[in-house]
Amino acid sequence: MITLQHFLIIGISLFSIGLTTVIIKKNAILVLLGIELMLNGANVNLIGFSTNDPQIQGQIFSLFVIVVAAAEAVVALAIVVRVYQYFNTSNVDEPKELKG
Amino acid sequence: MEYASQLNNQLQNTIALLSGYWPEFIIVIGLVVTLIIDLIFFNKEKNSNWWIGFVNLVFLILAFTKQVDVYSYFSNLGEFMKLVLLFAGVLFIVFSLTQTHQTKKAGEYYIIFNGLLIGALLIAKSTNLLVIYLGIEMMSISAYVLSAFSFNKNSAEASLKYLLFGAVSSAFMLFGMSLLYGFTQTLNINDFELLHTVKVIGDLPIKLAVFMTMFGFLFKIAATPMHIWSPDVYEATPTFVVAAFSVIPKLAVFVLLFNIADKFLVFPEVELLLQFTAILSLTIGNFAALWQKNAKRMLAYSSIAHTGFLLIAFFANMQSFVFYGLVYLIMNFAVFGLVKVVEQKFSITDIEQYIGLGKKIPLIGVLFVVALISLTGLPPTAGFTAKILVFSGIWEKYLTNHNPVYLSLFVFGLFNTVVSLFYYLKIPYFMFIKKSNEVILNEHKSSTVLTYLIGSLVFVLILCFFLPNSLMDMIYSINFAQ
Repeated sequence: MITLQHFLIIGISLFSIGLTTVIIKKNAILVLLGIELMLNGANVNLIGFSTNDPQIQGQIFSLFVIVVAAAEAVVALAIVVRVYQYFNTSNVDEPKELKG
Repeated sequence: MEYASQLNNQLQNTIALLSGYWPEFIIVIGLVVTLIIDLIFFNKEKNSNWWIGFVNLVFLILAFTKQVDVYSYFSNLGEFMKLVLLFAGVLFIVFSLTQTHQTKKAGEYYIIFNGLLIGALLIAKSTNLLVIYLGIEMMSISAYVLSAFSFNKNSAEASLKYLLFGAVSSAFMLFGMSLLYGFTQTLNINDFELLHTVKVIGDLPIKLAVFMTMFGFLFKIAATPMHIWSPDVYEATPTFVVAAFSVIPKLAVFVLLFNIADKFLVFPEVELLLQFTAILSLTIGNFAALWQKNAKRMLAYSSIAHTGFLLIAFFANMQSFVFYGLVYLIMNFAVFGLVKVVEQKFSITDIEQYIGLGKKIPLIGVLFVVALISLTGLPPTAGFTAKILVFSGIWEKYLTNHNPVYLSLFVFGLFNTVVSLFYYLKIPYFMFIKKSNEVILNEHKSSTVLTYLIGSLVFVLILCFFLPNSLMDMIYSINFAQ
């Protein structure tokens, strides 16, 4: 029997793992992976909560989130390619042109 | 048979309701038409840049006139601010049209800007978590792309930073929204009964959810703990895009804060967080701006400080917020336009290089002085009137409920107005007063139309100081009751 608690535990674990990845990884691609995990943690939450909702708004919301996350990933990867062309690296802490 | 007529009625109702969405529809149509024109004429005609911008402008003006109708029907804060946002959009495109020969990839430039505008309009209108999320994401994904539009090393770096910070903050916001949905079982903010649910699950989880949602909103208005992206982005992004960035997302999210205030600010902690953010934004924005050498970077910190002022106006009353927002829009567009003129004429953006420019281009210098005085909030400009309204509003709030937080908002606001004088007047100081050793700068042609446009904006700023009534009448036509 899968209860709401199971959903919430998975959701918060995914979110925390994602946040940890964002904080400790230097490579931009891995940071993006972390962000994707955070979004999916929220998705699991939404779906879990919608079990009590006759209108299943949460599940619809999560479908939208998946599409938005894909759009965001497209833009993000394009920008990472740009950065790689200019700086020859995809680590987030190496470009240091802007300061003040 | 009965069912069919019922369905018919429902459909008629829905269509009648949709008439409020005409401005958005027109912008979407404009976006698609621009896309097609770009596909057909791309690289074939030399003037295609100009045509694309012009077609887009026509659609935006259409949307603006339609929005006037919508506003006269609903006349609430959201519709009025949508009018303001569309005005900012029109200004942005008119500004960009004066630079068509310089705009790279004009088709994408206008299309993506339209995306940003639609996102902002959705945010200003909606009280549904799903639509708010979609609006914010639409606005921010367009903003990530636009911030890369200088096509150089700096702007690649800035857009990467913006994207990573922005994506993390919107993930936080989404998680908060998912929790709010779980607690209330609805996505519609008007149906929220947060205080009611406190009894069932305790108040800590609810406060956590509200805080996480607020985190995403505050990131978009560049309030202080979440402001680190903005100086880098402002420095590297094309100047007109920066003018749009500093106005459109900010005002849209502020309207959202007004829309959700009565549900989210029920907890004193959330209110305190916002007030603390206001004070921090003011102080850090103003003091960091003192050390800046680049004009655009300095204006970035100044716009962080203005977020603080807008937050004070948010706590004072709606009228002062609307007035401040309008004036902020006009003066920000004027000042960024002037930075662009100088950037184009002499290809400089460092303040120290502005030395002696007052003699070479006196008109630009005078416009600069008036616009910066208005940003500081001194007479005879509309910036002064706006600040007076905000401060008197917050003082009245203090007198009615004697909350020391309002007093500290008042004091910090006044104090920071004085601090801001030092860095704003740095530009006129270098332009007019400081003696220079005749530095020779390469002079290029700049658009005279742009100068006249900025001149008329500055004229409006002075006019609103002497005749604030016309603007006030417009603002009092808004129905603030709801």
